[in-house]
Amino acid sequence: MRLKLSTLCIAATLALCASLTTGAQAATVASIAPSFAPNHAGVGTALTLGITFSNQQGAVPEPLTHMVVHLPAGLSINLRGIGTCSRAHLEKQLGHGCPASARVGSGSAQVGAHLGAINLNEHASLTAWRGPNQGGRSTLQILGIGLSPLEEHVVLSGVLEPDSAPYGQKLVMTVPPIPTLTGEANASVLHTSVTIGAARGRLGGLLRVPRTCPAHGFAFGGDFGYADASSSSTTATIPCP
Amino acid sequence: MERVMSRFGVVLAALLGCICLVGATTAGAAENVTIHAAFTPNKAGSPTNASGSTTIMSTIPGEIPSPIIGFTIKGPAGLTLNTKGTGTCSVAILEGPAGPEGCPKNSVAGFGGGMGALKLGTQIIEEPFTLNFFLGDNRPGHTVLLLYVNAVSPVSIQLTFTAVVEKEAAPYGLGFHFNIPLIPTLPGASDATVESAHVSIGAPNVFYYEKVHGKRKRVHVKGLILPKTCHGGLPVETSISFQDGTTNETKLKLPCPKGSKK
Repeated sequence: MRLKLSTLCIAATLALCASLTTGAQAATVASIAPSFAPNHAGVGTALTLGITFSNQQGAVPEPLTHMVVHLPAGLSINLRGIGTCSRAHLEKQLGHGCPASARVGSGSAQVGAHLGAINLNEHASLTAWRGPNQGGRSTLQILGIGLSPLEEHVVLSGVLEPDSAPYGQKLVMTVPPIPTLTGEANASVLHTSVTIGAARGRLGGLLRVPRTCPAHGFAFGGDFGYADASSSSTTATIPCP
Repeated sequence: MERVMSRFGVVLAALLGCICLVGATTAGAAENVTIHAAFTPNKAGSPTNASGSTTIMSTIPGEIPSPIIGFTIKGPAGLTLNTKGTGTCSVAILEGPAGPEGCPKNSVAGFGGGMGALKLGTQIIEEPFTLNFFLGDNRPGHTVLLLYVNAVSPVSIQLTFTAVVEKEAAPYGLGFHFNIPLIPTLPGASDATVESAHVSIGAPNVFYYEKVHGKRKRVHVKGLILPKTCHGGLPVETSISFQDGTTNETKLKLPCPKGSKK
């Protein structure tokens, strides 16, 4: 009788542990780090946006499915002289053959996946391209290429839309799955940094720092959606010039 | 308690191992085994990923499957293994403090996971597990696969198994066999078993960097390469032996690779 009772206790304890573990789901959160270079009112600038994703329990973050980047009011975007490259061309030719004038920026990303009991990380290079307008709105496409350990590429597409204060415009982007192996989890973006525009040269007039600055600085925001249907939002500012 | 955990893990690992390349449904005396398998991409003479999944159910309602005590997987003749550019890991590393994270990344051969189970009284307790495959030896003709099984909750399990890749008799090619010890779990409880599992081995797009004459060179690890010829399908066979004395054999033919010659 004692043996049976102890066995039942162990079983109940194990079952409880299992249910607790299943029920505990860690959330993925994001932080953004924008910067202008240079940061002078009204001048041509390069906008660098860093985004870091993390899991509150230290695990690999959930794969990103979509995001909205809110840009500060007054940020000037001048697409004169900027060409376009189609998403299909980027996917098939990886940017080769696209007009050089369509390339508007570059960056890098670190992606990762938990496969079995190990974490696999991969560095990816990013290039940003202006895409064909959609419904009269400008689009941005980001081509990501990873070379090792898995050769993969993805194209993120975004549409520039009007936004409400304190923002001026927002970039609404969809993020396709980043496959790993058949039957295994898709990869997640751990960190990414993209620079659009430049202070001088061909891209010198693409972005201009707002001429006026709110008291708390230039406002940026990010809304992120993940594969597990969860979401997170974050804000950041660039100090006034 | 620790001993019990280890035994449970061994059972899990045993059951998991059966999964690899197979695909079909067969009814044994006490277990129904359903297996699906595929090569992706399925292109003649090209590197590929072999994936498979299985579910194992007892034919007796309310019972868990009998534990696996051994299994064999045989791939089709002409399926070759190219390990150029790979590294190797060892049982010592896997069982050491670093665990699978201590293995060279280029020794990774595959991944997987599934659901294990044991029965206490009338209650069935399930436990998810993960699988990692590493190359223990990458010399042509002497390939050794290491299988690392990890389960976290409700019981912590970390176990390593070894299998030698061998040439099987026609119409098969490469194959491997795992012997699985019979493993009890808790006093008065059933031995542990596996209810489902999936495995993914090899990939067509694996690249690593290595230094050649002082220069960093990117090397394509081809891994599994599909045959260039195929006659009516690619034969694959699995044989799973259960603790209850039954053996489940599954023979299937996967579609011929695109572009293969007859």
